Amino acid sequence: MLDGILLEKAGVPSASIVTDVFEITGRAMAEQWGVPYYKFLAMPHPIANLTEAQLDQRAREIASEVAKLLLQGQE
Amino acid sequence: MEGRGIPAVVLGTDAFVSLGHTASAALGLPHLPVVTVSHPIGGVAADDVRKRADGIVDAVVTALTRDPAPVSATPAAETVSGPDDLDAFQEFVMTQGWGDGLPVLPATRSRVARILGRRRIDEVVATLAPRQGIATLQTIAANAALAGAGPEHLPVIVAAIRALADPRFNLFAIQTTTHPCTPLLIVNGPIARRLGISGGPNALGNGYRANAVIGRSVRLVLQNVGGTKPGSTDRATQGHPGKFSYCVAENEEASPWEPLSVERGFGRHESTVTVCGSEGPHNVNDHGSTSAEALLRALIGTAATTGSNNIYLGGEPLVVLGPEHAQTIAASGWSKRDFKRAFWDGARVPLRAFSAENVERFAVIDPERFKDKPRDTVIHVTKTPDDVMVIVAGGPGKHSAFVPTFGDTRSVTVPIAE
Repeated sequence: MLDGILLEKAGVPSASIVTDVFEITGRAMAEQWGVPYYKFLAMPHPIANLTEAQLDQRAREIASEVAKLLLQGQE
Repeated sequence: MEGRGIPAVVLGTDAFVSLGHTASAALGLPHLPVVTVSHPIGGVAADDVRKRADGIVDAVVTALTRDPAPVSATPAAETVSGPDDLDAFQEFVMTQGWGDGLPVLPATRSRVARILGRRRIDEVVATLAPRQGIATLQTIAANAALAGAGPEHLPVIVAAIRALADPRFNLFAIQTTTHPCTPLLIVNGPIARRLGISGGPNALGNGYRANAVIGRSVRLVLQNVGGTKPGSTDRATQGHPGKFSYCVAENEEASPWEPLSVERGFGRHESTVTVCGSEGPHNVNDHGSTSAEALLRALIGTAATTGSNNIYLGGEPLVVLGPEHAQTIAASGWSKRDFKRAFWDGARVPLRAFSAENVERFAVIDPERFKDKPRDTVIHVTKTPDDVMVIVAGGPGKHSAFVPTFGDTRSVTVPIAE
């Protein structure tokens, strides 16, 4: 999350992804770093035990949102 | 420039270094790098100036190629009004998000002033992750007042906060991880006895005001200045009881060896605090063994487990030897260094003890130790003997403790300025 915020601050488009139980953490961190409306993406928790194929599926599902966020930026 | 996200570096002569730091902290950029050459530079030959410039080129490049420093989100300390009734005050503190759940004392102006004494209230001690909150002597004292500490405890608390901000400690991760870790404070030197910081019976437990309030003050500073809230920015899955307070003195009188501080280059008469990103202590019961070799079996058996962060991330787990166990080991003629080597050698787990899925994951994190290794490869709990930390603490009895750490963290020892 913080890497994404720092990249954006340095002018590099970023798309941070968290699992949904960490949305509250991501938002709290964005507030602490002075970007309360920082946009990031969330996917269902957990991902640690997913198989390679399941992870690929997750990636496919979120890829268009990632592309959209990278292209639209934080405005 | 830095405030607008453009990396910047301040150049000056060493005579003005403290001015540079104070000014950048006052502007909310306490991490702004300051690079200095020796003073003065006025009236110096061009060749000499060039030579001094050559000496700082690397430092300037490093400063300009890092991530820009954040503008700190911490406002200057402000005074707020709370209820006078002590029970209502507890509710108020929890609503504000300042407490740890146990009762706190009101941090009134007069109590904070008493803790501070004649110190400069705006002196910046550290910048604390994850919020990059600026810990000044005043904000530290306010949290110490909440925790029930007195002025005599402040030097230890301040030193610990300074140590926690050392990049080697990796405070950001310690503060936000799902792993159950929190700073364990180990106090060495004469200040422990003077303040009554216990290293004796039940030293890792309850019953000692100095241990309790020093550890608790540090936790409240980390929460209220560093900005971690349980379930929000502090994402510990379960946490552990030491997160209320976790402070112990080494029992130097009962140790057969040099204290931790002396190992790290300080004198016996210097007081230090060492911070470790630690789990809770796990007991090692051995009432039978009468030699170092025999006692080692129980100690390494307790440490060599498959569910430890240290085994795949490295780091410096701590062995807290009870004085009787320490005497048994020393009576076999072992130095502390001998013990560390034997412990490192013995505390290991064969790769086959881990699930194949876990090994696959470890191989991504640390290919050198885990990738494509035969199943009978042994994995040491620490990467080197020097990574085994050892102190002596506790009272009578045949017990010791093993304290794993977060792994991706190094302990930091600093002197306590009195």
